[in-house]
Amino acid sequence: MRKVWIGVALACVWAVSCKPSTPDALVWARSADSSTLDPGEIEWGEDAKISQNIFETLVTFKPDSVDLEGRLATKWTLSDDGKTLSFDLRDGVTFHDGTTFDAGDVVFTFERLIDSKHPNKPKQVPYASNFSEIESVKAEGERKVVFTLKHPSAVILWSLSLFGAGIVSPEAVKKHGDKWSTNPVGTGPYKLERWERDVKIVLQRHAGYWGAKPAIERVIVVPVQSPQTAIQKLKQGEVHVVDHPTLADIKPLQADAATKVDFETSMNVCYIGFNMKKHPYSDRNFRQAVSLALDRKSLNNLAYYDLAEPSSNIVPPAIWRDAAPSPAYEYGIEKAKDLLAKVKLESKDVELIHMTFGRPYVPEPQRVAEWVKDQLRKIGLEVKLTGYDKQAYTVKTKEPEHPMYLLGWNMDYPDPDNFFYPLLHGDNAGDLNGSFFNDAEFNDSVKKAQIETDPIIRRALYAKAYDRYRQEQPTIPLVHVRQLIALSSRVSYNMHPAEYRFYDATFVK
Amino acid sequence: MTAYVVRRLLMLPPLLLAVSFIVFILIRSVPGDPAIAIAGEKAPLELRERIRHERGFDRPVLVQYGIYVGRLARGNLGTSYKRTGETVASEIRRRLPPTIELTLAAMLIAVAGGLLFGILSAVYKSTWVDYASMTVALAGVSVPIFWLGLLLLIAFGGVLAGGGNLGLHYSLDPVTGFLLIDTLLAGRPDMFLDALRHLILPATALATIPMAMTARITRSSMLEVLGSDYIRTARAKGLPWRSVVLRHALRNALIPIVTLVGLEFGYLLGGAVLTETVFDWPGMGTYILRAVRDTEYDSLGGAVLVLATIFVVVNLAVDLLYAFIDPRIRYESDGSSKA
Repeated sequence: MRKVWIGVALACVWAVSCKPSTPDALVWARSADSSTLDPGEIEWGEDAKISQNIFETLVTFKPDSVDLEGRLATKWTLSDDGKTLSFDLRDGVTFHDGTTFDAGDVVFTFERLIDSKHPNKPKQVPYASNFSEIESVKAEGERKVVFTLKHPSAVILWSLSLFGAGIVSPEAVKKHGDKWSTNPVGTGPYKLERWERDVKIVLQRHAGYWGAKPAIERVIVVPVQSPQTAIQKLKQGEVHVVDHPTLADIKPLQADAATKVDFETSMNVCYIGFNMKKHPYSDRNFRQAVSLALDRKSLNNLAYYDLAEPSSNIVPPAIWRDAAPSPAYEYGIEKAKDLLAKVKLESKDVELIHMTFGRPYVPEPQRVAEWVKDQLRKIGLEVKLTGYDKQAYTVKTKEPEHPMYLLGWNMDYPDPDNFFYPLLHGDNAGDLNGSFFNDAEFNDSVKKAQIETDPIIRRALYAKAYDRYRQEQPTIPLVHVRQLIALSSRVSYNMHPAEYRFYDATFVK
Repeated sequence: MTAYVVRRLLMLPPLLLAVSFIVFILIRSVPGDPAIAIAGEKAPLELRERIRHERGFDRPVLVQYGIYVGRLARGNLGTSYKRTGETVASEIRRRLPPTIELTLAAMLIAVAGGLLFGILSAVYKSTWVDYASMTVALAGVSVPIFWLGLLLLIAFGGVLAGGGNLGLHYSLDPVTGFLLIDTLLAGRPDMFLDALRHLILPATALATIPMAMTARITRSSMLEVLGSDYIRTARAKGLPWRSVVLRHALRNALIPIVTLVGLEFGYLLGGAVLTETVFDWPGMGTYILRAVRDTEYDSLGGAVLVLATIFVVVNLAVDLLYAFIDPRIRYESDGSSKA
């Protein structure tokens, strides 16, 4: 009898330890599950990641750049007054539910975004302001759609390339009602096969897709909150992609033959902001002294594992596109001390608040804060550091009494407007503009650039705005952090600078 | 006995009310704006204002609490803000079974291992067996779960699965929510074994501390019993040693162990938060963590209330179990016990 039990136990151990072979589906690990799959309701990157593969927009980014090209639109024209934008639509496109895509679908998609009384409106539209300049959308036949704008707009095409502007199937929206956000139907290369909340999202290749079909039939997207656990799974072959590795993981991953890392140009910025309503941060000499005391090269080495690049502009270079010369920030302790001597300081004690949670532009905020403290000690300032968690910090940086703060920004669309307007324009003072910067010349240039469609004039306006920014230094940019992704050596995938395109991945043969 | 049970159950609502009040006040004392958590930092100010007003976040906290309790009384735990369209009750229904499954598996390992090590230590007192068992127990109490979890993942992740509760290539429509049961109901032994593979590492990590505590209590309790006169008598009249230890000594040593196991259940529910995070277990632990991160008031309140209810009910069950283990214990209607 005892032998039988031992045999059973051994059989169990064998059975449990036998790894089932995984079929050839791409397993993609990320930090959290989605909240909604209704493009209109999307607010954060994890939702956008799925949406960008299920839905398509009228215009999108070219394969290796952030230049625009048509997707569901084949071409577009802008009227001379800049207020009418017409799109010719692609033929032969079908939704995942088999219905045919036409101009009515575009009208339906945008009306539910801009009309607050629409019977099928999303529960909320976090990116509503990006569509607020649209007056109306009308179909002209089945293959043409016309957008009428409230005023000329230089950024409307960027807005139409946002994930929130993904074209939805009206039939599916009406059919699923309240359940639409968990039953998305688009025209993209993948369709939703299954969503097990907090466990996985399974995407299946859309057999009727109009374009090049994805090489991999299924993509399984799993939330693995801890980057260390995700990396461990990658090494063990349980997942193929980890899109949230820590910077410290990069070198070991590159050294391991089973894994590799793909890099993409930065679309973000990490900066220090100053509350311009509070002394001594309101003193330009103080801000300039702080800027001069910061050696950005050492920051890159100490806190970013040399995976960032020192900033010379709050707008990343890939988005700024040399709109105007942006010389590197000067480093000079003596000059900083001279400037600081001109500031009426009651004491040498100042404060820097920072987040305690990692973001792509500042994966280890405490380390950056400590670096600032160390750097400013060289000019005689004693910095008190105060950390806050995510929810507290978003409120803290909007309060009128906050001191210096560490913050950053990931782009929504690749235009300088997406950095200058929300972070520095007077309209947003006390909101995303935590420095309360409200400079008439800067505001005027940025507002004019929003409606100016001539690229040469726009560049001049941004050059002027940048000039004011550099003179006043309401914030000082530190670094732009490269985007990166950890991959199994079995997978070939080149990151896109602005989107996660699962359909570009292939298995290496 | 019945009166005692009814009395204990009647204490449950005021207790839960107190728990709900403390949780409600605590979570609202934490700095943060739920409107930003819902709509995002980039959402227009007007939208955030509208959300604050519509959801009553702009009203006095006590008024908000009154509304919340009113909803609770109607059995409505609320709705998740971030997860559009999903009620807290449906999320908890989905999240609770995996946590209970993990907790029970950890309990099984903790009790079996703890009893084994404790009995061996007591029987072979002051030998290398005793020293080795107690060293392991001491290490078990001292090791942080998240560290042990990562270590287990690195060491055994290649053989046993370490993440989620089922292989990614499997899909199963839940019937009971308990994977080990559902896979058998679906007639899928392959999935059952896969679920078991996923369960072993997190359950082991979670079981470490309670196992060590059980081992230490078992040892001291057994030592006390083994030194009593009736054990000497039992040995003197020639009963086999194994029968003396397991039948006579262990049963009498069980009372403090059962008390500990009951308390451990509550500990395990709490410990599951860390374990579930390391192993990405889709249970209440990761749910609570997400609720805290997203300032999801209703989700957090609902989850804590459900866990508190379970904790109270389990403690009641443990109290009743005393009477079963030791027939001398009888409960009076005023709650006192007589031996």
